[in-house]
Amino acid sequence: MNRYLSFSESYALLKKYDIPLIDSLLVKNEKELAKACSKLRFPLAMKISSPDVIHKTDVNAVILNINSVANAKREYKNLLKNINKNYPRARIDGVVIQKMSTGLEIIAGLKKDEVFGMAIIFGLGGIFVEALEDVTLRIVPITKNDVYEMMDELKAKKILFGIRGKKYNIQALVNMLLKISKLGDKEKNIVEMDLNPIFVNEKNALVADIRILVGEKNL
Amino acid sequence: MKKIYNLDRIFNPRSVAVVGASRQEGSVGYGILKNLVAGSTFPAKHLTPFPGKIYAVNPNASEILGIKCYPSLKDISDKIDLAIIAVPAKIVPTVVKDCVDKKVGGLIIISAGFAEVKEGRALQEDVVRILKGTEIPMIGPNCLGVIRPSAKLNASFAPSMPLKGNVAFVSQSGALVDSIIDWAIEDHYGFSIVISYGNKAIIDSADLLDWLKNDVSSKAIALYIESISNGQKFMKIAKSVSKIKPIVALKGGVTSEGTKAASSHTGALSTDSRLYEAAFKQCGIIQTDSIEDLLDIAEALANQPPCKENGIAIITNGGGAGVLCADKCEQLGIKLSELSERAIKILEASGKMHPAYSRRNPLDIVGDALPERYEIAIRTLIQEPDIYGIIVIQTLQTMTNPIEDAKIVINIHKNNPDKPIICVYMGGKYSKESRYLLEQNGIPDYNDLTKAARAMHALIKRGQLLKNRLA
Repeated sequence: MNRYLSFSESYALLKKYDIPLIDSLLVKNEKELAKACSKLRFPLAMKISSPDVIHKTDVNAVILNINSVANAKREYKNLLKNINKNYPRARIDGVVIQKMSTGLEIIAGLKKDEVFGMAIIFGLGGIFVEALEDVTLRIVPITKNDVYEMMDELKAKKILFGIRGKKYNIQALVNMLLKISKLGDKEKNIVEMDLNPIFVNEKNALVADIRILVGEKNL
Repeated sequence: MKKIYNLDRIFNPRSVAVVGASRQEGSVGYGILKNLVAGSTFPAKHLTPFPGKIYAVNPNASEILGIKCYPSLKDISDKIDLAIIAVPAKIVPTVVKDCVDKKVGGLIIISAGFAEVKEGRALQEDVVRILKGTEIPMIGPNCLGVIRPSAKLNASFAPSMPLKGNVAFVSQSGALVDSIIDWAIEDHYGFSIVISYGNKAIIDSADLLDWLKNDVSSKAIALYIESISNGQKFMKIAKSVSKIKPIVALKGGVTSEGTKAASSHTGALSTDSRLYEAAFKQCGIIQTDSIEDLLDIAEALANQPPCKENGIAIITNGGGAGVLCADKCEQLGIKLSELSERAIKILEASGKMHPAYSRRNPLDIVGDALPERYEIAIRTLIQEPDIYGIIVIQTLQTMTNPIEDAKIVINIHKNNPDKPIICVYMGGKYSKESRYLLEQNGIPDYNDLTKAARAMHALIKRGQLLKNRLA
């Protein structure tokens, strides 16, 4: 049976390949929540961590722009209530508290194909992927030149390379994609992996959310 | 990775046996034997019989088309290089056993009724099992066969045999090959080899590419693929082959099956067509989207050198044709180099230019251009350091001399073999001969501005691949 990795497992896997994630903490009660708030600083985002709740935004299981501890506690209760109501049998690992990040939304991922092996996909997130399917794909492992070639294939490449004075740290994104490729090349039991969204801004490129589906064997 | 077979005895056989040779005109078993005996089933004066030994196996006949029939393969005392099998599917395993006992060099199973239909899957597995552990390669089943004009070998049931050329055509589909051969004969398009490989039960496209890598008569490979069984093997071999000779591919059958069930964005977006496109790119294969393009581009790549940089010139005796060609180039990202002062000076000094000639790229040498004007224009521009390839356009005017214009291009190309030339001698009845002359001498002529631009685009791409990915 295929299964989704938990937040902690996913976090550990990204760490193993040095793929930077936005500062995040998993909390299991209000006390931990308060601690996390002071550690990470506002504004914060909050999302459910459960192998049974996959499409988090579709069920309002992601809350953004939390600005105070009181606000955080209220949203925490609501979130758990919401999940209990909609997914009474969901196994809940906890709630992930994450620093809010800004920048251009990027989507990247891996997919195991029975003919070619592992494929890496990359594109601009949000509307670009939803409506235009503006993505590019390669079989892993890929080289730096492949990444630049991939970027050049995107219809929205002008946005990525910066228009209207916006600048993004392309180098950081290139490095991240190479690390994802390496992960895909080594971790043979990954079935599908979404890194969505990744935020790239002037300073860095950081993963905000991960979803990893693995096959029978353990990592 | 699966082992690589030696295909020499299939493609260069000295003796061929047709198992399932038939007396019945219109049957596959008759067509194959006829193709070996006469080179063609349809009348074709230019073709001669296969020069090696031909054997026929049919227990119920004594002789077909002048060839003695044997009751079984085992009754033939001579060594058999290639066995072509065209018996009903259910008898095929028995015949394959005979092939193993007889130690044939290789076999082509023409017969259908295997894994392409549900009921035939077990039968195909039987055949594979019998051949497993032997060194005997098998092409098919469910294929058209192999045609090798240079060896006068038509080991297929195709209607005829195309001319000798330098493009290898490898096709998963057989029926497609039939029509292409008919078209190719009419259009004087030549092939080094045509292979239909059907169900690829043992020999797949990667094995064929690997053999073609060292086939000196094949200068470019055109591939029609519907599916690949082992992607990693294919990519590894294709990359090593494209370092040596260009591969052009057309992928047929784009399904979204398997992606529908995906739960992630990545899964849903990893469609079959995106995966193949990526794999082709990563091994330096140039992908096309139609059969016509596949063959057009293969012809250019087989006959002309790669364009070393993105910078070409267009020479034309018709303004409109030049503009349209430049538009197409622009769309494809082909850069037109600026003409240098040196070039303009030479053209002016020649005294052959019309006062209204364009003095820029596209170089319009005006409708009344005689061969000598073409000559000075092409010769001057091909020596320009910033011009890496030339498209020569000729529109037919009262004073135009197509044959002489063709000879000029052929001659200049001989002296400048490192820069590609593509021609568009536009027209029909009165320019046909010049087009054949160009093509016989390895200058692709397209009679279509878009096709010419696409061919040049492929030559530029090939140049870039050799410098980057395949370096």
